[in-house]
Amino acid sequence: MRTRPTAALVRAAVIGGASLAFSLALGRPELILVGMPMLAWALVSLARRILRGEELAAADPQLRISRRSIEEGGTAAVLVRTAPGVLTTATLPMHPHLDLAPRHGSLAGDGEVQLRVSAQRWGQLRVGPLHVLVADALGAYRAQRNLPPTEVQVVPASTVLDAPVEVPTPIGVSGAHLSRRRGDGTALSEVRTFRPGDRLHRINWRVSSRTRELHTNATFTEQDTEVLIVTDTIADVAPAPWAAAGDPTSLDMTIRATAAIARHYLAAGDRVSVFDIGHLIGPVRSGSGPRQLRVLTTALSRASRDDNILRPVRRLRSVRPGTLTVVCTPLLSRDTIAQIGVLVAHGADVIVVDTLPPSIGDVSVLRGKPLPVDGKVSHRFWPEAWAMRRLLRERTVRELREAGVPITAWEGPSSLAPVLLSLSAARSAPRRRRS
Amino acid sequence: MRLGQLLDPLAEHLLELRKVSRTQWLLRALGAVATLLALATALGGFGLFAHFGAALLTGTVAAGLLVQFRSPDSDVGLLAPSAILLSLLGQGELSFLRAAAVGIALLIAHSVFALSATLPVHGVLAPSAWRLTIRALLPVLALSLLGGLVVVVLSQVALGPWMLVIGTVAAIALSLILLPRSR
Repeated sequence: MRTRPTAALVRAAVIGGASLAFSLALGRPELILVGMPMLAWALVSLARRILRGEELAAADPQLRISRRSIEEGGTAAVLVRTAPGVLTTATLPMHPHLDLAPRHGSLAGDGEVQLRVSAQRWGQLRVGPLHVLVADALGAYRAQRNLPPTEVQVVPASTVLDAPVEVPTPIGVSGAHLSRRRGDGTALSEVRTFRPGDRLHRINWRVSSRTRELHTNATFTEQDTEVLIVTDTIADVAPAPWAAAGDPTSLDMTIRATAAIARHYLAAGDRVSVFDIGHLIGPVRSGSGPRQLRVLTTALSRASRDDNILRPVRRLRSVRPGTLTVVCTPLLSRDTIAQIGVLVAHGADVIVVDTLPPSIGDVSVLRGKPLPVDGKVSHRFWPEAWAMRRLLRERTVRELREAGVPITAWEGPSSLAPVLLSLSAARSAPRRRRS
Repeated sequence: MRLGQLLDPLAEHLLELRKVSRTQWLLRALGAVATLLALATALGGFGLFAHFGAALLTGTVAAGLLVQFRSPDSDVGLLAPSAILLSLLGQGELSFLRAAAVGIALLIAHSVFALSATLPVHGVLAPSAWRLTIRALLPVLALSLLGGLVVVVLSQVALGPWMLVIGTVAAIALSLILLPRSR
């Protein structure tokens, strides 16, 4: 980087030179003392520059980011390094979902500057462009450069769900869930008489000696299941203007719910896949284990929020019967509701997680209570329109419930527990045959 | 015209001031105080508004200072020290001590404004940057002290008119070395 003299150097040279010239011309040596310190300042800065070999160019700034992938609320350090003895100032532009330290994102240090960025929202975060200004220690010469922006991936915070791991219909061949099928497993189903083919190590010797007949322990098999998470990213509904600052949008809630549900079932050993109706995330194929969690959170964090391109809605044609299907949706799109119907028709166990921000559609406005925004009541009737939309949506919710689809609002880690418990209970309850 | 229309832009400008960092407030305030101190010392026993000349000088310095306070990297920053230097030319009696005090006050003002210009308005100086600047200022103070002593000692020695030639050549050489050729 080529350094250039600053206004300060011109000032020091002019005042110092002028005091010297006046002193000589007027024969008043005391006048030199007025400009002497500034003359010394200019001379020292020039000498430093020559001694450090910075006449032609200053050290190029090197940028390093400590972590390319962070969790929501996590922090990454942005390190800018030049050379010791060089006053280095790094400035990052402000970003709506980014907290900077120092607060306004500008810090000067000796050859090295470390700024900290904390992400408040999931997604692909663009850090930069970073403006770097290098100057000598006195500020007599300086150069500046804009370093290109760097992408940091912010993976959604996946809270640990406060929900049981039981699924209504286990459909795998091995895993953590107890099935209703008898076979190799650890959970005791019954003690019955020994049959040819039974394993010898399962003989129950106590019962056999008491009854004088060989008895064996029968167990339930353990299975995993396929969990399909269907995400509705067709629209991103922002919270109402009167909601608290930083309230999540419908897309935030969808992504966070998806991450939490996926983490929950992957930890239980199940296979989890994601199908996105709105094309924002892209399909994530079925898989299990920590690797799948990584793949999934990476896919979620890549979802671009700034892309306003309207894409056709994607439809899931078939699903394996008994698949636990969690649909995360604000229940506003007809296509999504139709998709839920298709899933139910294919025999999937469908749970709907409602991700419409709770502040949207406050029906109190319909009772004549105005909702002021920034102290003003809007004459565009947006609150009334959203209240009407929520009332219309209530009908859809009721119809889905009547069709046997449980709906729960996403309120954090404890949202799914009652629904999953009731689904499991409903599956294991005795059925009455309809004639 | 509604009162709100008048007050809102003012309020917005005042709110903008919240973005100014403490470092910048400190540096610019220090620069302003040092310049005013230099002015007061230059005026000697007179008040800042004692007579028309003093008031004119104070006004000029204040205008220059105001511009420099707002934009430390401005070339208008030359105005305040130049006005102070010119005011000293007009004074017949100037002791070495007073001249040195004015010089040191001007150096402080100049240094802090130069440092302030290396940062954006919301920029913060890390402790390492403070240490670096103070370390770099030590040779400046040492050289000023040494140069001042040489001037005081040499002022007692009666030199011939030939010294004027050498002095002028030295001043021209210094100016050629120090004055930046391109900016």
